Amino acid sequence: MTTVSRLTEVTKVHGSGASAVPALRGVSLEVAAGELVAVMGPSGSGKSTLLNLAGGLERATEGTVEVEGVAIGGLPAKKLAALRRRKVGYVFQDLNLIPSLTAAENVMLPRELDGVRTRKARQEAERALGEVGLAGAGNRFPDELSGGERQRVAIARALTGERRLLLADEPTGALDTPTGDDVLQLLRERCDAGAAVLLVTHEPRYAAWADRVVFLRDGAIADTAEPMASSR
Amino acid sequence: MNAVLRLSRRGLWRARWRSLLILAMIALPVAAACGLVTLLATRDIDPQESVFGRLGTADALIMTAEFAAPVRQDASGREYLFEPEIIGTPPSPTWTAADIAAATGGRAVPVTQGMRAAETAQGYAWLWALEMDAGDPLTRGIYRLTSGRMPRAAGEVAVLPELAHLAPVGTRLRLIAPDREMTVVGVASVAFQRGVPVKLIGWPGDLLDTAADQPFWLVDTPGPVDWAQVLRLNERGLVVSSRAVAENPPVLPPVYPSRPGWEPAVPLGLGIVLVVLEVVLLAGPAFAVGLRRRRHELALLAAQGASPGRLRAVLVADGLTLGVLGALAGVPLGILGAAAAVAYGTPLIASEFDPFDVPWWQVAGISVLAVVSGALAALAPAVSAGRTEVAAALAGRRGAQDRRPRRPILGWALLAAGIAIMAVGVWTTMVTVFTGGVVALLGLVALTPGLVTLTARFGARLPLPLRLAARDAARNRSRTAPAVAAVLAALAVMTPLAVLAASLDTVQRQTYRAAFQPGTLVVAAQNLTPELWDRVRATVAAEFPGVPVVEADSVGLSPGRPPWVDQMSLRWDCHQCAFTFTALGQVVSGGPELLRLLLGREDPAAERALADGKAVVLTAGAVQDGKARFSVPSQAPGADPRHADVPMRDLELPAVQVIPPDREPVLAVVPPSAVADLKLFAQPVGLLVAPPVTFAQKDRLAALLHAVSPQISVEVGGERGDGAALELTVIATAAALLALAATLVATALAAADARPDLDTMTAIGASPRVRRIAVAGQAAFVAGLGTLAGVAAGLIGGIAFVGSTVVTLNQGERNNFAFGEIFTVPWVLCAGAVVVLPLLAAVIAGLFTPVRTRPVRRLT
Repeated sequence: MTTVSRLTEVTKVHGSGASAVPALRGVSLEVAAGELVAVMGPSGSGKSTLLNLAGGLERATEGTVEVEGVAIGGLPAKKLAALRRRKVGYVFQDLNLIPSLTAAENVMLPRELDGVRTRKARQEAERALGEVGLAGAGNRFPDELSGGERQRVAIARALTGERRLLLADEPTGALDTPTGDDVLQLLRERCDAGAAVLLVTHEPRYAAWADRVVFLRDGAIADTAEPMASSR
Repeated sequence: MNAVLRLSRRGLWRARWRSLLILAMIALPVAAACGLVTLLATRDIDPQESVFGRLGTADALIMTAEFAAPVRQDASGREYLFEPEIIGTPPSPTWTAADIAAATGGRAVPVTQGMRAAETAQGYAWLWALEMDAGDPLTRGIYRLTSGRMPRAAGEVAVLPELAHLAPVGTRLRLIAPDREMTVVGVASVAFQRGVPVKLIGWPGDLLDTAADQPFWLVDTPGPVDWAQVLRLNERGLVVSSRAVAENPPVLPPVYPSRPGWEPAVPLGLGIVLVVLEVVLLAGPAFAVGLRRRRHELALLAAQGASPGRLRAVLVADGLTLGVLGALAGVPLGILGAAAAVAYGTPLIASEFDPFDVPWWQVAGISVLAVVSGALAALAPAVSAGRTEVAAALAGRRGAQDRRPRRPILGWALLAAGIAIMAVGVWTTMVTVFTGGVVALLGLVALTPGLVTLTARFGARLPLPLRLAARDAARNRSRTAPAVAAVLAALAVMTPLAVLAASLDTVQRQTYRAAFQPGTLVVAAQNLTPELWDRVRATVAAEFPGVPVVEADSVGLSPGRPPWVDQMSLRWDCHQCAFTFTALGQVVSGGPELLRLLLGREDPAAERALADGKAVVLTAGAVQDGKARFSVPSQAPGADPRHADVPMRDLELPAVQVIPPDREPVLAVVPPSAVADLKLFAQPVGLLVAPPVTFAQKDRLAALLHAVSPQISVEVGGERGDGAALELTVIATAAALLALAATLVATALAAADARPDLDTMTAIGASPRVRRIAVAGQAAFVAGLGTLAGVAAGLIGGIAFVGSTVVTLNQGERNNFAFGEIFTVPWVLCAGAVVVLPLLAAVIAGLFTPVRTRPVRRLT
């Protein structure tokens, strides 16, 4: 299996001098294609920072972060943005979608930003929406969709084009349990279809869908475990 | 790019009220500018347009030149000159219709234009009149009948709408010198000659002295009058406006080549810079707040791989879109406004005959400026958008404040350069001073963010609501700084103008010489009929019961005619002297009381001379060997005294010279006995009331007399008119409006932006009053800092302006003005701006603060 995301001895310190707060300390982690890795841990343990670093939204203070073999630490802002457009998809807990764009427009956004013609991008978006069970919902605005549907749109967007790394930050946090289950199932399906998924959650119930669970505590990996299948 | 435009479009729609605000700030100046250039273009008739307006249905309009010499004309026939020179050439012969018809091979109809005196309900008037046969098809199109009919015979006139209320249809209108009673048969307007305010239209040969007023000829020819024929007619001293030539004008060198000049372009360019700057600064805070609201959206975009450039592009697209929309809204608004002004406004604005003309190139230029303004206003927020901290924005944190130490080198450099240019300008030209001022202003605008931070530091000791306002202002510099800069710019432009106006007023006060003695009231008019004078006398007597009223008379041939038809005057070789006429005219007749009021003192010798029948001359150099020369109307034996051309003759009268302390109120006073000896008549031109008369009494009387006739002037000696009061009021109003607009817009945006903080305050128990004070504090901060800095900067500009003026004044020969004596700061105005404007802004902002707490709206 090819490694899609690799973090090696990554340290992140917020602020500097006396007010410096370490968020991550020497974390190393790999996520391969077809693998769903769940990151768990209490508040402030560095889960979200890990995800931000893996996708290049923040830069590591020390260590290296690679996406599909490319070290992103030294990339200029423009190249980093291009890398996110082509290789990395994000799904957040809430407010994932741009309210002023329709579902299809949200999905086609990374492709359009990449210079793909609007028409082609729209076709791809409609296909991606179909794959997440939202065929026909393309012209609806986010506030016309349910919470679960919104997360499905976000997942569709995260995997349009050639993107293979999906970073999900509490994607079920704002959803009820059955809807959350649906979203996790969808993530699992995409993963089985070849995507690499890094999922931050604090719900053991959802971590059970993962191939591997990483526990973070005070910015360092405390434990790695196979999930208990019975939790599903 | 599609995605960026779509995001921008949708974002603008979601925040439609804010978008509308920005739109208005761009569209209104665009509308004003478009309206102005359209009106100017409509008024400014190009030669070709003018030809059609003057031609009616004729093929050509022919004018006889003043001399019997060949002329060279432009294609329109509006400009011509004699070629070769005309020295020694006899005047043009009198052309008849038959002559013109023979010369052109067509039919000629005369249209004559000249001046005529008439008597109206408001007194005598000197009117432009036109004579033509309105029934002739050739004249159709050069007049437009509003009511009644056009004159069909001698004794009939049509009047222009402006005169219709004084001479309505069906009434009689008395013409003077020669005297005639005319019947008003219609109201019409004419398009004949621009710049000549024709008031009367009469039958050919009926109104004017055709010997003095050469007619124009409307010509109907079998074929078009081509350029070759125009050239042939030019040879004979005829100037031609031909329809055929105007439709297809030949390329000719200009008749009077104008010098190419770029100087007017400089103030225009600087004016444009100032307007664009003000628009950018006014709209800036709205964009800044828009950015705050869209941080999360931009962060999502960044998470999806949008580069910083793309984020910037979204904001710039906002600016461009609003700029384009502002132009699209403003241009039609301005053009419609101009059309309405032409249709319903006074003829002073534009005439209905002017072809409505939209200068599309200028309108396009204004539109481009609108788009540029929009983009510039969005620029600073766009740069900030490019620096979005994605992780922080996604997590809903406000993100680290931009506390990088900044060295605004550009701002300081511009400021220094501007001041240097101004300094140079003081000794060169006012335009250079202006240029330097604008450069310095741009520097100040660049320094404003730093100024905001610096000022907010002093806010630490203020009470909570004000402290909150100062902190909020400093923490949101991107929204505060443009608003402060907008106020600053408005005040920094207006203050030097106010200083200049006040200083010029000082110059005037120092050089002013009163014609009439302080406290003496003078009611004067050259155009009143005897009946109107009776009403004036009665009104004055009623206002000043028991106070002697002294009459000053004009001397002429007969009563019942305007004095200027045949007025007695002083023959006077005036070398290097200046005499500005007062409303009384040159020579008046009256007794010792009049002389005393004119001189402001008793002069027994002069009064005795007057009583002895001698003239008293009040100017130097006119009395020689005890005599002064006068020009008086003389009546030929048996001539009709009402005939127009009154021959004048010179005669000498015994005279004494008395030099008044200040300016001459009149040149000479002649005794009534001399008038009687000369068999002349005296009729009133003025009434004088002895001092003391107050300005309030004068204003009251002026209002009463205005109802009698608007032609009456009322003044009190020692009064200098309104001085600079009007200019200062206009300047102050404009500055106050701009400053208030900038402050209130910024405060409203700040209040909306700080709503979560205010809600938190309310939630923990702050009273609505605290909330109001906090918002009022924000307004006070913006307006206070802006006005203070603006006035301070403006005073420096004012020094340069006045300095330059003093240098220019002292180039005049006998002038030696000292800067210190001239430089006047309108302190009341400046202090008012610094104190009143912030207070006003604070009160308005506080009053309109919504104090209800609203639950935070969430998307989910």
